Amino acid sequence: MFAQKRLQKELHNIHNYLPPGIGIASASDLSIWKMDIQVLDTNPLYADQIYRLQFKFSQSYPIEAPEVTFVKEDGIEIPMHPHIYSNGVICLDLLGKNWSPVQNVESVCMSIQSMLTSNTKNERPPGDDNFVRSGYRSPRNINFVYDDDTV
Amino acid sequence: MAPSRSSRNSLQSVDLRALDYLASPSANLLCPICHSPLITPVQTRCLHTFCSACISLSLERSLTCPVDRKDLSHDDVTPAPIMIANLVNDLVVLCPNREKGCEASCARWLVESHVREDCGYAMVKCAKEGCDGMVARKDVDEDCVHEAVECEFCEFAVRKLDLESHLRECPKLSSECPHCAEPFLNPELSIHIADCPAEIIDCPASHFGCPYTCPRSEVDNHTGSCHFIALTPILQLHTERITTLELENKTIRQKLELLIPPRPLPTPSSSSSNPQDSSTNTGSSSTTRDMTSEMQDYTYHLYSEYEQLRSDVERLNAQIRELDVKQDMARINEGLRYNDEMTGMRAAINGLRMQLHWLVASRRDAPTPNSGGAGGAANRVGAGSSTNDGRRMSDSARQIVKL
Ligand SMILES: [Zn+2]
Ligand SMILES: [Zn+2]
Ligand SMILES: [Zn+2]
Ligand SMILES: [Zn+2]
Ligand SMILES: [Zn+2]
Ligand SMILES: [Zn+2]
Repeated sequence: MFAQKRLQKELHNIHNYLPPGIGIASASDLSIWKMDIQVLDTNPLYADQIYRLQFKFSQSYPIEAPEVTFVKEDGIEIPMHPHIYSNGVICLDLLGKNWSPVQNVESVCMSIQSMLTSNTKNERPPGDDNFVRSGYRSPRNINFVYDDDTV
Repeated sequence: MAPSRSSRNSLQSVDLRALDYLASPSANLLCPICHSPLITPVQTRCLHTFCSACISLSLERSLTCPVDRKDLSHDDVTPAPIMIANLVNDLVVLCPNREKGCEASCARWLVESHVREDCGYAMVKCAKEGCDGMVARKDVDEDCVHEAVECEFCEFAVRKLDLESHLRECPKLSSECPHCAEPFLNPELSIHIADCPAEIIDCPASHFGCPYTCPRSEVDNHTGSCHFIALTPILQLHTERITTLELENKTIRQKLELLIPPRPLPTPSSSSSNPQDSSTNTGSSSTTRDMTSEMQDYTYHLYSEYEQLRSDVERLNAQIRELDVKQDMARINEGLRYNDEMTGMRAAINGLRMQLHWLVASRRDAPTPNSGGAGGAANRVGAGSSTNDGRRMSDSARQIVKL
């Protein structure tokens, strides 16, 4: 009830206004949304690319963080970034131990957008192969070291 | 307002969080967690305002303020100034029974009493003495709808409330068949529908691919000429054969899967388990079928043990990988830190070397201003040796830096 009411409000606001480079792809079901993000400056790593984020909300949203991953769909790839595994899992402390219930879909999208904008390394996180092979779908299962304060 | 109304309170509870507001309220009155107007507003030590319930939930997860992440405990939360509470309590909300038809709206603090005492659509106890039923308040002065009345057609006793739905299925009344529009008595309708001559049905051979459809009464005309029906016996035979072959294939594959991964076991000759339809039994499976159930058990046992070991190994592997990642990160962090330290030390050593040079130079120059000659003075020996020491030190320092 609590989560639904708030998601309805967020959806309403999102349909009214979204910051440039962020769009809504689908929210047919209130518990799973897909958002499209684009890097606006001329960062050669991401120029002219649209990436798709999937948000999964639990009943205890916004007390608990949503599960946010990049998804691969027709013609949409997973962006190259030292904190994004090739299966779409994102290592962002905002989505883990630093989550706060005042965050929302829009602010999460903006954080991830700026995380891409500021990146210059065309690489995956260390141990990407192992991570993807081990089948973890969430960085919460792994005690990832948030080592980089540019995030 | 009739006295009988107000004397009856509704027990319907009102969930303040679910209310809809007449106008969208000022953003300053919204709780940053639930994004709804504050309910029982409270204030934190860092002067942020939340619903009492929202901040409690948040503190259960993390003892920080959701807005500024400052440390916060349950004791740092106190009721917000009464003015804020008044502002949110005065917001105009729509009656929660709006979907049932109530068009009332009122200040939020009044909505509970509206539902309890006024709302025509809230459910209250039936006015009739001794009746336990519930009825919408607006209907409370009407006759009791819970008392039994007699159906005028079948003379059956029904509650007034249920009369309408009873009339739809009363055994003395008729309804129309959805296919032929003929009226039938309710109890006979379902028997007729199962057999209605006007219902459009598929050809009996439709599962073999005949696309023909027609009313039930005309289907006989079609069956005489339908090619699919003519072929039905042979198609049926084929289907059966395919099913048995598929089944056989499946059992053979299962046995093969059991046999191939573990070492092949010697076949103790004993009565064949697993008797099968002998008509489908071709010679190819006869050797595998000789396995006794005992052996199968043994193989299953081995197999499950093997599976267990494999999952153990996988789990260990995953743990090792995780540790690897952690260690890599730690090592990189350490490396970075050492690098920083090294740079600092290099700078410090350079500074020292400069100072040393300066010291040596000033020492060399100061005591013997006419130092151009090669003549040996006692001072110069000292100065010379210190120069050598200095050089050596700076050299070794440089070497360390190069490392
Ligand atoms: Zn605060
Ligand atoms: Zn709230
Ligand atoms: Zn009402
Ligand atoms: Zn009654
Ligand atoms: Zn009747
Ligand atoms: Zn009919």
